[in-house]
Amino acid sequence: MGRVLRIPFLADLIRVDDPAQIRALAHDEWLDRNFTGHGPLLNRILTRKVRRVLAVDRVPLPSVAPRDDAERAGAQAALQVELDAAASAGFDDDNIAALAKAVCRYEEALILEHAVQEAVGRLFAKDYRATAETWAAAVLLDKAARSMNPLAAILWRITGQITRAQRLLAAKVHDDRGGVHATGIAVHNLVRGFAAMRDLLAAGDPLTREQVVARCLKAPASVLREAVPKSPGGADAIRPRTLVVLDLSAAQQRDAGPEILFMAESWSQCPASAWVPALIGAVWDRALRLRRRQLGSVGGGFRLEFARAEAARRRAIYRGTLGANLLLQLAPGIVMIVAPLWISHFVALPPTDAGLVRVWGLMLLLLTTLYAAGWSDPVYTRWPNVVGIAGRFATALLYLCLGRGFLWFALYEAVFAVALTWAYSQTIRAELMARP
Amino acid sequence: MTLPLYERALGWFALAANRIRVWYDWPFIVAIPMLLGNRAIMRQRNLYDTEREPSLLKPERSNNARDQREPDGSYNDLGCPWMGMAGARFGRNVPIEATFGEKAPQLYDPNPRLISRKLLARRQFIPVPHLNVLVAGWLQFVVHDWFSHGPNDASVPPHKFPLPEGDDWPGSEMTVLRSKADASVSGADAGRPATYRNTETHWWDASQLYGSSRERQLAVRSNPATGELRGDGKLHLQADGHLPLEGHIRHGEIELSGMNGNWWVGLSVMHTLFAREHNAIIDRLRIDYPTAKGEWLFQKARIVNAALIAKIHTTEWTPALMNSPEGRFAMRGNWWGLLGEHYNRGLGHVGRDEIFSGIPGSHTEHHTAPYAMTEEFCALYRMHSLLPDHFSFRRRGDDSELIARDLGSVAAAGVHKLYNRVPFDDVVYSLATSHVGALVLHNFPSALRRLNKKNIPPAEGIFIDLGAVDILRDRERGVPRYCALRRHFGMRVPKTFAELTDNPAWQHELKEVYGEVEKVDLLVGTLAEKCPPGFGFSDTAFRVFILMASRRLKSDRFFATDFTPEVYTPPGFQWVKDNNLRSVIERHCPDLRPHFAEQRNVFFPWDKAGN
Repeated sequence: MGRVLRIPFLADLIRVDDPAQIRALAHDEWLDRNFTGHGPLLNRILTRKVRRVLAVDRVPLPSVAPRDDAERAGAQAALQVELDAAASAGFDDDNIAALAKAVCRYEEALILEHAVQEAVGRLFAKDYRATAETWAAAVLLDKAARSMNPLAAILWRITGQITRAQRLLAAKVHDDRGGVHATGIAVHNLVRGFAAMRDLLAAGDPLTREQVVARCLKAPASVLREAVPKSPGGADAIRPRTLVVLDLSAAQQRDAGPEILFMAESWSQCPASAWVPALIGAVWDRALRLRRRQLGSVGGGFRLEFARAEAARRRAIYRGTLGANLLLQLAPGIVMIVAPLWISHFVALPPTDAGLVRVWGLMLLLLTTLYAAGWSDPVYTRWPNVVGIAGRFATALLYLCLGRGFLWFALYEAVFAVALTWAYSQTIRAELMARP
Repeated sequence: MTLPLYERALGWFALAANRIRVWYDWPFIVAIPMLLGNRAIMRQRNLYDTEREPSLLKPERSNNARDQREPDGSYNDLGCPWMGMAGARFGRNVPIEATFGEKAPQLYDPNPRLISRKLLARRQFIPVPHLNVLVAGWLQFVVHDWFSHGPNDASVPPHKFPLPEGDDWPGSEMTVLRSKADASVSGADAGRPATYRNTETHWWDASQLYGSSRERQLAVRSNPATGELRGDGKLHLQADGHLPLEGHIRHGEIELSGMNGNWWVGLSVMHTLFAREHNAIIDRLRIDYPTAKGEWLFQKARIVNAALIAKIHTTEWTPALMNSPEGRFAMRGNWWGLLGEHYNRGLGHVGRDEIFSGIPGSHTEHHTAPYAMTEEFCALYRMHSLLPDHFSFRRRGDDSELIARDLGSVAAAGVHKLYNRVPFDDVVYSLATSHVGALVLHNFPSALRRLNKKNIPPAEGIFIDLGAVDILRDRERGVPRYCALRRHFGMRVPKTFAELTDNPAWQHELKEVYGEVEKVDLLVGTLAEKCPPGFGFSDTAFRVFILMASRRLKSDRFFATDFTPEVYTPPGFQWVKDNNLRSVIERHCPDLRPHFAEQRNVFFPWDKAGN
């Protein structure tokens, strides 16, 4: 049954990522969301965090309210009916257009996060407007709900940021706690989904609508359950007050069915299980049309101007990185020639090796000079760049083996070896994508 | 033969990295050596010879076999004259013992017609947003260069299998002629699987333009009206630049070219362009060789034209369908090597190996089997889903529609009739601004699933469901099914339908039809498979492609050892270096330039008039 973390007095946690087990646990009568705040230390920290963050005025949001909470059950059912009807009837054209434009990065469009939050918020308040503040509030709540940083938790508590965020989101949806969850927590899954849609549009792969929806549906990272006090115990089974983390995001990799994505068919199912896929499909259809209209034939990376500009940008980044490296290499090279004893002392070499240090400095200067052609045109003059990067890794290893004061040189070479590898790889990639 | 040390090292690296994850899930810097390593492994493990009695082949040698391509493809390898010639057997990419053709009842299980209806039939056209219809025309253009199994065998009882319930197919069962197996078997063939002969040359020698026999070559160089051979070495074209018509064709007049089977407008465009290109090369060569004979000019222009086609396919068409940095690096590396195009143009080929400067100009090498096209390669090039069912032909000037046609109307004799209504430039413009179909399930052209081969009234017609035929042919010819083929190539094999495709609806449909994933046909599997990022086809197909794409160049001395100015002539050699499909279209359709000037690749949809 999942991965168990059981340390007396400290923790009693089970993490489950197997889809079949999650499906079974979703219906388990002994698991609930009471979050009593009792049990081992870690359990208490987690449950109290949930009660504090995922609440408005200390009343838990529906997503973390107990099974037998009648108000939660009623609100959930009502919202499900409303969202199912909205999914069948079709969406507000303005909302879909706004989302599609955001996905396609239209200049006049809202940024994606705001567009998504606004579309979700309008389910609860017709005049909902997402702003930088409402989005920041959503980010804070999501971060606080998942953070294990005690210092951050203390800071948030002292400054009252979380309470302000909760109240801001609540005010925007007429104090509907379902709306707070939707615009503060669930919205992040949708944003990730539409970000994935952006990548699919850019890649231009020929996908069906169903494939796109499947790839853009993102499960919550995890949901939490607590075993009720009266649950039967056992050596390996869930004990009373055990916290069970259902790792939905990991389970989705193996099973992307609605029972994982939306906890469908269970008491805690997401009311948006039909609405979200329908929304994604509608936005995709519109985004495709917008993309064709926006670009005429195809645009972005398929056009010479864009592709060449991107290649030039990457080339500039690489040349800048390499240039900085070469300049930094010149300095010690000169010092080695002018003041070899100082370098000898720095790397703990005997003073009699001053001649060798001068030679070392001269080699550095020569290498820098030999690099000039490669720096000038890194794409067409590949050999010095490739050999130079490989040489840096080798040199870093050599310096590491020498130890003592050479360790600083090893660090310097290693950092630039990695940085240049990344930058050069990006340059070559961009260059390839600028060719036929 | 033993691979060079660096190739063996790459092979070991690829084997190790493949255990962790597939190449396209690795960063660029790891993926590239993996691709090279995978190719090295396949060069050792996935090439099998079927030509057990080559004395049955009778190559005809001309006086100039050393520096010209023979019409029948013989004497490309001077030490093995029959290799790759028209009539040589298809080779295999899997062990011979795994290539026995399936027999009934397995041969018809699942029912090919059922597969065609349930999995292949197009519900609505699924386009590829970033590729135009020239992609489909080009593909068939090069495929016709490489292989054909020739006419089917009408002398033996055909395949017959029942129709699924509720099927509206004419008749009570589906009848499909069998492939014509090679009858010239010898004692060495006893107990071995059936083999098939390629009616075209196996080489990348533009035989689709020039024919695979001396007779056909002479035909395309002659005026069909008079039978007179052109003395200037050019291919005969009509005064308006179109291909001439070949009379005496059963189903009406089709344009004359080296290989004009399964003719349709996209194919015609490519044949026309490159016939004109041949003649343009002749004009260029004549400047430097004003007294050269027509025959010599023809042969040199042919070599140059074939190399240009190979270059375009390697550095333009394939990268358009493999639109990722890794795919592009692989294909450009095949032609120009690690040092790249710029270095190659400036300083030529470095060394005799292919790693630094590409295959053209490196030494010829056949690796572990004599060169031949393979059955598995043929199977993986079944890309009929690229074809749309409907075409809109529009004016390049204002994008207004001239006429709309369906696929059947722009095929065979319909092509030259179309040119009577739509100028050539407008045809090219229309195809280049329309989208090609995606290689996915449920996108097989409807017209090809009910093809009336005899062009006579439906009650008497002979109909073919090409989707069902595609499935049947692979089984008949012993091409392993999807999982088995992947196993032979050392690729991960899906254990469930969910591992084959991430589309839940397709998983369900596949399970309904096949029951178990091991039974999935190769074509179906490659259409269902999730493609690597930026790719228009599956990784399964890609594995065979990188092996055979390199082999087509590496085995052919005109692309390897003899890819030199001495063989091509200096202006001919420079012609190959300086040109690409963009310049070919600019040369023969200059008015179309504004429509593709801003596109990175002419296989991406062009700008429409008014944009």
